[in-house]
Formats: sequence, C-alpha cells, structure tokens
Amino acid sequence: MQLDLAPSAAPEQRRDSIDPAATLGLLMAAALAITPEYASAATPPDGTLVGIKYLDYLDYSQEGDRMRVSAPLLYLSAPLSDAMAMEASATVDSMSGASPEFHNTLSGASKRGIHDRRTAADAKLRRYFERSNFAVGIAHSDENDYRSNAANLEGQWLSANQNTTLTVGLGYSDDHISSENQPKLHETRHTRSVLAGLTQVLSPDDILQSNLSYSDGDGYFSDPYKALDKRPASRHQLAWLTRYNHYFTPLDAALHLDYRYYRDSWNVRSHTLQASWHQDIGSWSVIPSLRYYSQSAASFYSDRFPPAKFGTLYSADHRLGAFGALTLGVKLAKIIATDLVIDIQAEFYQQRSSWKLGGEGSPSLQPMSARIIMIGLNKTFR
Amino acid sequence: MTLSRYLILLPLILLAACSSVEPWQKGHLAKPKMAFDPDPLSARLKQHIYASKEAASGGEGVAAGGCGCN
Repeated sequence: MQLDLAPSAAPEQRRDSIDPAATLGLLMAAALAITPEYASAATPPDGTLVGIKYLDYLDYSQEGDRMRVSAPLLYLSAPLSDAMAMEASATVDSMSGASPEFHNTLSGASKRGIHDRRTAADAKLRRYFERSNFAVGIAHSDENDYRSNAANLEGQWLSANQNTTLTVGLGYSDDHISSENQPKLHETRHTRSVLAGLTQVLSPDDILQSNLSYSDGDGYFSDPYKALDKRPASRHQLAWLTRYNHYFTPLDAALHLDYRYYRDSWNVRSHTLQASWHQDIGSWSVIPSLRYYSQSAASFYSDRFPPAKFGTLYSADHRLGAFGALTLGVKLAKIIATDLVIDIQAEFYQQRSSWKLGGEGSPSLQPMSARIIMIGLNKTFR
Repeated sequence: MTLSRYLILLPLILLAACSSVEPWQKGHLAKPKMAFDPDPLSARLKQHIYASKEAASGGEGVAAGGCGCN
C-alpha cells in the first residue's frame, strides 16, 4: 500500500502504488490504470475528500509589534457525476495584535490594539471532457473594513499522448475598502487577471510546469491605517512561475524546485526560489523545505517618516521596501487508518534588509520573524 | 537572471520535452508526491500569508480575490 502523503492531494491521484516486485504485466496494467489521472486530471476524483486544517500564525518584530492569526479551514472535494466535480473551502480567521507604531501595517489596526475577523469561502465546479476540462469558480471574503468578491474561469487542454497540458485562466475581483478610523472612506478596487501555463512531462521521472500570470488592477491601493500613505491608482503585476519535480527511484523520494520572477508597475522586482524534499518512511512522510525571497523597493517607498514632500506618492509600509527573506519548514504526515491521514507542519520565516539579493536593502527596515504551525486531518470516502 | 535570459531557456526545455513518455512509464509521475501541489490547502494558506507580508504574488493561478491584509 502506498503512503498517501498528500493528504489534500487531488483525490484522483491517490491510487495504490505499483509493487516493484510485481510482474511486468501487472506493472503495466497498474500504470495504465493511473495514466489518465496524473498531473492534470482528465477525469473527476474517484472519492470525496474532506479535509480540515488549523493554522496558528505568529509574527514579531524588534520594535515590539506582534500579530497572531488563528484560523480553522474546511475543504471538500467531490465528484458529482462521471464528468463533473466540485470543490469548496471555507475559513474564519481571527487576528489579534498590538502595534505601538503609529504607521502600522495591519488591517483594522489602531493604536489601541487590533482585533479583526475575516470570513472567506470559495467554490469551484469543473466539467470534464475527453481531453480537456473547464472550471468556473467564485470566492468571497469579508472583514469589517474590507469586502472582496471574485470569479474565475479556467480551461485545460491535454495533448493526445497526455504529456503536455495547456492551462488558461481568467479572473476578476471586485473589492470594497473602508476604514474604522475614517467612517467616510468607501473605496473600490477592480482587478482583472489572466494566466497561461504549460505542463510538460520530460521523462518518466521529470515533469516541468511554467505559468505566466498578469493582473491589472485599478482603484484604491493605499492603506487607510497608515498616515500619509498614498499609492498609485493602478497596479500591473507580472509573475512567471516555473516548477520542476524529479523522482528518485532508489529512494522513493521527490525533489521539487520552484522559481518565480515577479515585476510590477510600482517598480518592485522580486525573485523567489523554493526547494522541498518529499520522503516516505513506512507510514510516515517527511517533507523539509527551504525558501528564499528577495524584492526591490517600490518607487514611492520611503524609509523616512514623515515624507519629505506632502501630497506626492508615498508609503513607509515595510512590505514595499527592499529586503530578503528565508523560510525553513518541515512537514510530517502519517497514515493512521485507511484513507485517513494526519499531518503537522512548522515553518520559520525571517525578513532582513541585508538579505536582499545582491546587497543592500532598505536601511531602516527592522528584521521581522514569523512562525507558522498547521495541523491537518484528511479523510477520503470512496 | 533577467527576463530575456529566462525566455531563452524555454525553447530548450520544450526541445528536451520532445522525447515521448509512454502511458505505462508514468507510474512515478502519478505518485501524489510528484504533484505540483501535493497539499493544496497548505499551499493556499502559505500563499495568503506571503501575499500579506511581501510585495510579490501570483503565478500559481488566477487571483481568488483580495483581502484587507495587503
């Protein structure tokens, strides 16, 4: 029996593995049985997956800012017929923190401390054809001072030998921004996004994916909780993500390598490199991971407060400054019964201006650290 | 690496991809750990966290809506 270490993996990808000791005939039969379902599904999942996850997030800076987010998350993926499937998720996250800084960074923030609650849900319906599938999705997110409604369409086309998959996606989001500090503030933001991606099987042990996404947003981008924060009324973002997976037969392990290049019309340029190792040991699975991130500053970012000149584009939001960041993570998963997997994951994250790629980041940025813990339970009903 | 250099890599990768992999050779690729997102729930949460702490986002899919955190 194969370790199912991917508790929330697309259920169509869960099958008994091929016993290396099996005869060639059995091997081929087993491989053929899973063929249509690898990489990008050509058929709906063969079981209903119910997953719950609990997130506990804490970040802290040297200035004494602290923020904690805890969130339970529910996920459901189910076939509706031979050619139709749905997936849905819902979450409620509660945020609490205290920020002694005047120009702080949190939504719903004030000098007295922060308490905010966000509810979010999304659903997607997918229809499968012989060598393609099409999905329509909606998403909603609601906070005291922020409301977002989004819709998206996605199409996937597989080549005749199913070694190549083309993905095209379109998205639209309609956001409303208000502020507890400024009752008169009612602003909007509209974002259109498009994605094109190619997934290619390179060998029996290598698979590559490259996605290009572009989003075009207009409206209110400033942070109503930051004094004098004034950002452009539009933002164009381009992201190019390439992912490569390699399977090591002698170890029954997989290596994932990801690289993302990002640039936007605010003059932010960023590079993200990520590597993870997926190792099965008996009924356990161990997944260590490492991530490096670097960004340049937005053109209107300034370390100084207040700004040199009033009324011009200005932000002291450290997230628009120049810095680098490292994440170290590990995930452990264990099959505890048939089709039942429990997992725990811990990540440690740190931002430092000196870690920016190729030298100096924004000089007055203080290091920021965060730790993330996630616990999950996944059950498949067949 | 500049964007233009990156562009040059793509045809090379596609050329390498021309070697055909037969259906019965896909046993390894079908394993859950060879999926690009073996744990989509965790990936989604992490994307959300990174998008609220860093300026860059995107690449994984079309945006599923905004949030007051960024």
